Amino acid sequence: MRKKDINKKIFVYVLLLAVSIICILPFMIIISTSLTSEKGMALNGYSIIPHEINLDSYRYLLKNLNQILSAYGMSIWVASIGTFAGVTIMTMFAYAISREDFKFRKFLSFFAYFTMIFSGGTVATYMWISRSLHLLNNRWVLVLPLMVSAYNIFILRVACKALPIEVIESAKIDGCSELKIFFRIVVPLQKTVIATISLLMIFTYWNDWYTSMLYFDTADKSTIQYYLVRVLNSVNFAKNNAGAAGGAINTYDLPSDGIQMAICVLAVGPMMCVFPFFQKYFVAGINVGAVKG
Amino acid sequence: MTAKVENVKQGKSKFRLTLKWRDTLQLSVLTIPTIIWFVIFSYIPMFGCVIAFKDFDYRAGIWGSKWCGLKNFQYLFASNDAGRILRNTLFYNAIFIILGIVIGVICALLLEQVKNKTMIKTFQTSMFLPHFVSWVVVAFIAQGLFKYDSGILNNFFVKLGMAPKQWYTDTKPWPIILIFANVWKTVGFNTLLYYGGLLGIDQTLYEAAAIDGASTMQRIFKITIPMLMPTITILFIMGVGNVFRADFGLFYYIPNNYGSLYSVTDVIDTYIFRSLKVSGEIASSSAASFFQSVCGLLLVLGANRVIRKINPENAMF
Repeated sequence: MRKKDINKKIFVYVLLLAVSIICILPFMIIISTSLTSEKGMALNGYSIIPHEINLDSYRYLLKNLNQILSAYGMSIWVASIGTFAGVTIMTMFAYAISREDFKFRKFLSFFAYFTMIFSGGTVATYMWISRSLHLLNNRWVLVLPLMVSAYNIFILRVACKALPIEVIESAKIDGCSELKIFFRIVVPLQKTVIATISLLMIFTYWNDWYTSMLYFDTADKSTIQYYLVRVLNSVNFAKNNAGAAGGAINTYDLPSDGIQMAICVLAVGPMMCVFPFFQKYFVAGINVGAVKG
Repeated sequence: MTAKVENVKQGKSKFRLTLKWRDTLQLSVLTIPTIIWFVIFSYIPMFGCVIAFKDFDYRAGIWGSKWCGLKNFQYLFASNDAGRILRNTLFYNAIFIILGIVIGVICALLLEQVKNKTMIKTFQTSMFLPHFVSWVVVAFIAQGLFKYDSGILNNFFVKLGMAPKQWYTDTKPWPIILIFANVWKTVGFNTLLYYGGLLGIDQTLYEAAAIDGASTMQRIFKITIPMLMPTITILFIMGVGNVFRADFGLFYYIPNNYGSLYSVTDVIDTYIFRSLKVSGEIASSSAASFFQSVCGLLLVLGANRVIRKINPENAMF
């Protein structure tokens, strides 16, 4: 190899390594703080590399497991119901509009597309869902608004378009109805893209805290992300009011920094563990071209 | 065997012409659940945006409240907030669009130079990681960095013999912090987008260029960038269409909603949220929300029209 090539290679690797490290380093703050005792925090403050390995925060959470477990349960419930229902109805829709011989194909594609470029806005949606549908503090409000997205429909449509029409037609010659063709032939053939969309949706649901923040004001039925939001809000509230009250506010009830970060680890952990194995599905899901045409 | 295929092929043309009403009906049935969802969660709220022209009354609801013309807009634009949130939203989004494209393309080009499969995957995974955590988790990280008494940055300053800094009262560093946080969170996603585009480029083009003696830079600017143009344009249109829509989590939680920082951190979405949920000012929030939606629509149509004039193939519709 020529010297110039080697230099180029080193240059590329160093830059990519730097970007990668910058991307990962902040997560070290969470992990190392969750492993630091309260004493250690008072002494050293936050750090990237842990000064000690202390499991007090996790022990505390283990003792008060109920809240965490119910939050996990809620997150899992929302993610599984929402993903299953959403993927099912979106695949049905996407398959129908992918059929060139379907009469309403053009109209329905536009019907879905238009929702990508125009929306009623936060306030109108909020008023409609909370005042007219009466879904405030209802667990279904976490599921329903995120169930369908035009973007996912278009990715599914591209995959359905790639189905050889002969397969469908030979099934029809054999007397299959359209519904039967969809459930018996199309769905099994589209397993990969359905898995991709499902994963994208699971992640969306798992990481969603905004919906809870808008439509929830009670602590029960909170998902793991909303639980984090509540911890963050109470910490900020105490901090903002500590000055006003002359520092006399009772911070005893607040979780310590270590416990806060340990909750973060528990919220992020499951996703971080599974994510590397499913990365190729995410890569497949990123298809901007799908929106076209 | 051939006869059978022939039959099927004939069948194809026949079916195209005579999709029976029963088949159309069944296909329509498949679309009904999603149509209902779109009506309830997208289209009715679209009509609901008339709330911006109403004097909202909680008891009467959206449809029952009285019309009040442009009063809500006058109220919004008469306040000092309007200029601030508009300026911040547009400023940050413009930078995010540009940096998203530039840094995404650069990292994708770098990644393409790497031939070792394991290394590619390692880089991809680590760059993609921030994409998968919510802003709330990032907010906890931000606290670890910026806290006055124990944050990493102040610890570092003290070690260097400098005075610790009150991060949450000084507005100057915040544009940089917010831009950095955004780049950090989106770099992996953008890189993957363009990397996918790069892999689709016909390798013979590069071989031909190499034979003609093109330098690396020439190859990048004469082959790679033009080939990536369709992807870049679609993302650009989408970015422009969303230029009035700010990432709520970033602007609300990274600066911790500190009032002292609003002049550089308050954007349309955080303003709407605060007016709606905290201060209960439906008038200004509904006006801002309507303004945001309509401007978004006009911008997408406008951007698409401009691109259609330049190169119809790259337009979205």
